[in-house]
Amino acid sequence: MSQYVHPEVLADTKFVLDNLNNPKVRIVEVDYDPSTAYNVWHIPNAVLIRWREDLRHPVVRDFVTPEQFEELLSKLGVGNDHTVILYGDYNNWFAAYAFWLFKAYGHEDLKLLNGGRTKWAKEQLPTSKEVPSFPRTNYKVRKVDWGSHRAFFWEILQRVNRGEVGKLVQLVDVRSPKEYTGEIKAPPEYADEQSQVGGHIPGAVSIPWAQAVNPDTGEFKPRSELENIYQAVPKDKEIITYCRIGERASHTWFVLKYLLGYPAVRVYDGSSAEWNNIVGAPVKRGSEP
Amino acid sequence: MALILKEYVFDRVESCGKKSPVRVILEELEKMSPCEGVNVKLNDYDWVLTVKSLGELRGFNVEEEGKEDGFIKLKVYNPCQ
Repeated sequence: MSQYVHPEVLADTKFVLDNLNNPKVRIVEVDYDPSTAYNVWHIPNAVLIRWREDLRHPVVRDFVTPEQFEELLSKLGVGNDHTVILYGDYNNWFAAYAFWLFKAYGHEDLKLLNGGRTKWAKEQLPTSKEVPSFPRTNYKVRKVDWGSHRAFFWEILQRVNRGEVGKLVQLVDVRSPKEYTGEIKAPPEYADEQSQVGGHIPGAVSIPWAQAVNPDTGEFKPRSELENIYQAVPKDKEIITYCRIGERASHTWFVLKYLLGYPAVRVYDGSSAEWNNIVGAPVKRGSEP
Repeated sequence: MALILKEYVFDRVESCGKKSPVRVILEELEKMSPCEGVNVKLNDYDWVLTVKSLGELRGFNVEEEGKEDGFIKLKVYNPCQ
């Protein structure tokens, strides 16, 4: 892992195994659906964050406020000085999304378990169904930095209309090729969740998120392979990743920013579930950016 | 011999929806009668393990039927009475 630009943000299974009972470490599973993940098995001493109930704002399509985030982490026994190791269901999608949120809210010592649940299960490492309990902390959000993490619809629309995509900023669509071209308006098996139109934001390049991981282990590919995969993404431009609702985009954000060291990467978390439903938003179909 | 009423393919590249693939499969099975089931193709190891463990916990039969194009094929069905 020392080959990556920021290897300190990745934890391998051995590191986690060696630190299961370390009081300075908190292992946190972030699930979209705990009933099919955490509740079935989890890493011993891992606490649970439920993506929808705990990190999403209860009313608005947004994230919890800093105060709500403080209460959540305090209640879970996570302190500002803890090394927090995130992992979770859906190939670490929501763990990566949580990583992005934790960073936007200023948590410093943060890692992602390389390979997530898949790697842990394949290595037949210890698991548990016990829900741990840690003393409450007094977690404080020390800074709020959405500016260097998040892109909103109106900025992207302006960039597209000004012809800046591909010149000053590069959009990376990390969905499947069929979602990108517009052949499908929703992933198969989710036909009732179709957007109004299919296709991609004009100028966006297509690099599906899964190209960055080894399909057998779930681990990130070596740096040299990742550099090759993302060679169409220039390092001297602002990069904005997007997908359908932002979780796959966060995964690629993590790869670009931390493993490959891109200096300016943000996530458009509104993604196609927003863009492809807005009246008049420009959309392109087909395989060309 | 189980009667297969539905076939699912969940590709981890794009299976992003309101319900997890495992939940979609198990909820469909709960609506079915004895000896009815689904064929599923999954290319996510965690999902395969979970379908097996949760499926068996809920009394379904889960049979692995090899691999195809990187997908693991499962037949999951209600026991025949």
